[in-house]
Amino acid sequence: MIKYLTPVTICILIILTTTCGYSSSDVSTADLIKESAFWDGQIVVISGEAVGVPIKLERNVWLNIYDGKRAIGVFCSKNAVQSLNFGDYNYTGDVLEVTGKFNAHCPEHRGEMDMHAESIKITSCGWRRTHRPAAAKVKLAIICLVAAFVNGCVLFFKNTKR
Amino acid sequence: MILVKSRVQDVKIIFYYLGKLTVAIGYFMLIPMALSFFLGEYTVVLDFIIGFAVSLILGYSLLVICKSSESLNWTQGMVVVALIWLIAAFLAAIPLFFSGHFRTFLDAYFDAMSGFATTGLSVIEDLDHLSFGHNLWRHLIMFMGGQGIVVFALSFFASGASAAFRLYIGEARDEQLLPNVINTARFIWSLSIIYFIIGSSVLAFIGMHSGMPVFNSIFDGACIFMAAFDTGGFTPHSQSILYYHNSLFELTTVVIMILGALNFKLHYEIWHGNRKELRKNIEVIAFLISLVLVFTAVCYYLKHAGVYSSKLSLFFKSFYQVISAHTGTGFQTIDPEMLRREWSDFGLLALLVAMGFGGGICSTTGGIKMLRVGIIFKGVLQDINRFLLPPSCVLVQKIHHVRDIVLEEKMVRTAFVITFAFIVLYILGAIVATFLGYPMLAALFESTSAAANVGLSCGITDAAMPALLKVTYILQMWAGRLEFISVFILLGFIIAFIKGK
Repeated sequence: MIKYLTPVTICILIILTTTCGYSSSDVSTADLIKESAFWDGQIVVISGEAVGVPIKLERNVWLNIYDGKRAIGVFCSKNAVQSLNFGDYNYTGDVLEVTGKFNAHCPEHRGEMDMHAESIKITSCGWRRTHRPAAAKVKLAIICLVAAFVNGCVLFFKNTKR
Repeated sequence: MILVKSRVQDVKIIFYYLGKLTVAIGYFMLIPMALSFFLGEYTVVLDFIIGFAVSLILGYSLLVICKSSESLNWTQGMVVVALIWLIAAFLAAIPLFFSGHFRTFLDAYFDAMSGFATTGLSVIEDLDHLSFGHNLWRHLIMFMGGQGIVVFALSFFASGASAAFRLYIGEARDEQLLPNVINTARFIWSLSIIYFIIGSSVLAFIGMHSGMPVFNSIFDGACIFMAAFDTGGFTPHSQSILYYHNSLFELTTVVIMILGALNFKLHYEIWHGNRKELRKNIEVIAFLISLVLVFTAVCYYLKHAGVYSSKLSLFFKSFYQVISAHTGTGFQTIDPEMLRREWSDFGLLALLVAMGFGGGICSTTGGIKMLRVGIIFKGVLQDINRFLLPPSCVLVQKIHHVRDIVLEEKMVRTAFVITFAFIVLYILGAIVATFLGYPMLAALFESTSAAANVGLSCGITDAAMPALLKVTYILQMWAGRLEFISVFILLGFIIAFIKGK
């Protein structure tokens, strides 16, 4: 029995170490920031909305990924972002799953906290946001404008009377 | 102490001038309203219509009810200034509240006061989806507040008002650049607009070079310039300056922040060819010495703590944070939580000192101000010398601030009083935050940031913080920006109105 146990244990250990080395962990941006020292240099998977605009740097670009609480810069190749929708006032951007290396202080980018993407996957497509004014807000705006106009008239007549 | 009861006529004069200023603030809302209209953000236009109309209703009502032809005296001028900052923040908060990015009206008021006081602490949520109109408004109020609400009103709406000087002084503007205060106000605005055109163009160009669309580059360039020159610290994106991932962009903001932290009087001298002043001025010298000391201490500590592996990272991170703190801007290139954890107690203390000192007097910064720090230092030096010299010796200490000035005891005493008041304000905010369960140093850091109108955060300020702390920070930002005098006079005026004989 002991004869088999040793090679089996060694095999299990080898499998564990090799898989751990290349595995990636799902983590939120807030956790990355909270435990930055632990995650530094590791391959992680983050998920979040692409916001703002892509920012060019030579043959690569920066994406800003916002997970609802915090945002982080993702450094990736230009090709990876060509078909992406970015979030702003008028759009909800694509929700992306980014796998890449997390750097608490990237030596390549002046010590920035960033992620160097290995792969980017769209998990949910963005959409155009509609902003319909609430009826109550329209009414309030009209009432306020009328009141301001009446006040202005009173002031005007009071001043001209003198 | 005898309190002379304030007359109803005093109150009428005060409210009459408040009415004038309120109307001016309302008209300022037409700028973001127009932008929203052209961009098709029609819901946002409604928000500004409501804000604009409420400003006019309030302003016109005060002008009708409190019609007065009397000029302001000193007390009334100070009371007007103290009150207009509270009213302006209320009016500016109306469109912000309707944006739907604030949990409560108090949160919108917090951001509005933070904008006017050029603090930069923010409790806004989901900033990355905020409209262009609202974003422009956040930065415009910072631009207006940085130059001074009264300076703004004097520049555009006043025509030879005799009360102008009292209002100007009440807004913590200790120095008059030109004999006429309205011309002084106009100079401040003209200078700011020239810098605005140059600075925002440079930032926009860098943005375009980084592949940002033309409109976004111009918009972000203008917003970041206003926040940097007015040492405010708001940004159009939730990651602050980190959003741009560009070292040239960061360095440009460093230059603009320093320009904003310089005394307008110094700008005036430089613009009129007196460049020597830059080397001789006590404020500049004090600022440089303090900056070098804090930066060296931070670098030394962070290097030994092994926070940054490369020298370039160490330089960029520490230099940017120290400049941002010392100029009272509040831009960050480090996440607030990482700042608190990695820079630990010593790093935070160093930034706290830089924040507490601030920039030049009669600039857009807050805090104790470098002229007072210089005066206190020289005053202490004078006292030490007095002990060392023979009693018969007459010691004359001079400082250079545009001209050589003999250091008088009264000047040192005034500088001490204001410095002491600032320190008390920093501590009071820290006591409230500590009472609410925050760690002592973080509480002192955030409190100093609010009271010195800086805006750097170590993670305490967010929408979820207790309402009591929000109110505390609002009052700190207000009192710190006005440098106490008008606030104390307002309190005295209210007490006199109630209890006076």
